[in-house]
Amino acid sequence: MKIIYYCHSGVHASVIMAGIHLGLLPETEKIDNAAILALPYFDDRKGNLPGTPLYMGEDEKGNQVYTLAVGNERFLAPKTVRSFLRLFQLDDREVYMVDALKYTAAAMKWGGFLSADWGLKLIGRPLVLAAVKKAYPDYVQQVRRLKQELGYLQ
Amino acid sequence: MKIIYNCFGGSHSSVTAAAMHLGLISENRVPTAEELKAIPYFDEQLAEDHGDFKYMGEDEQGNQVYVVGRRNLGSLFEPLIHGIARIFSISPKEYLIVNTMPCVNWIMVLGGILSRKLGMVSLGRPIVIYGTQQAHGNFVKLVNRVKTTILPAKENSK
Repeated sequence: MKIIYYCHSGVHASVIMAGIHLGLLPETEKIDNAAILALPYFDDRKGNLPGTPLYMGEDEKGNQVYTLAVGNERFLAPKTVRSFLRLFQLDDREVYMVDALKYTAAAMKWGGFLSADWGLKLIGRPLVLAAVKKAYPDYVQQVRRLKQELGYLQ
Repeated sequence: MKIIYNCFGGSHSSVTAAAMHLGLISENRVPTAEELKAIPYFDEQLAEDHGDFKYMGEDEQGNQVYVVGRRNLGSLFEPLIHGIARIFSISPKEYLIVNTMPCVNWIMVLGGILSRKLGMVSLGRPIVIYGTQQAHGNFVKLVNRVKTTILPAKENSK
């Protein structure tokens, strides 16, 4: 199965949650800047067009984990993906789309926009990092719930 | 191959282009209001329909033609579709994405917002029909380019 975490930019909240999912970030209350900045694709699309799913890695159950930018269309994007797969008679249960915007504060959206889209890293990045750290326990909990739901945790 | 005409709301420009591709309206003369209204999905789709690929028919070469409203996904739409296709090993030769927004004039935008977004159908529909008739040449150019240039190039590519 493919697991796709999505947020506005595809390189902030979704990368954090994918990082927790893959064990690249610890399941703790607090997190430091260095660990966040070490994540692949955090605040950096590496030349990929926004909207391109970014591959983050394979998890302990052999599922591939991706992140995705959906802009302001957090409901339309998953629907579009499932609808496109149906055109090719593919089972839309093969893709599990996770909304990473649930705990995303405005600071992360606009900081991320400034940093990743406008190149204003000096202003945008501290805003994003502060917002990530504030919401981090919520992200950890959300990933744990998801893993429970999918039968990863007993 | 699946040909996916897409625009903001999947109601006007994508539907008109798909209808012309399928021969439901003529390339040689401006369609009448009745002809436009008879096209499936023309000025019909609402917000909850967006993101659903709607089947319009099969063309003379056996390609299946669809329309979809991508709303504010905008420029995210094509990379998203290409990326999902790559992840699921769908060959780029199996589908073609055609953005119909460049065909749209401001009259279509105005009529479309009135009819679809604000629900003022009796006011917006005649305006969007008039705009679509004015934009007829744009649709002829686009559909011709798809049929004579883009499709053959796609079929010959590896």
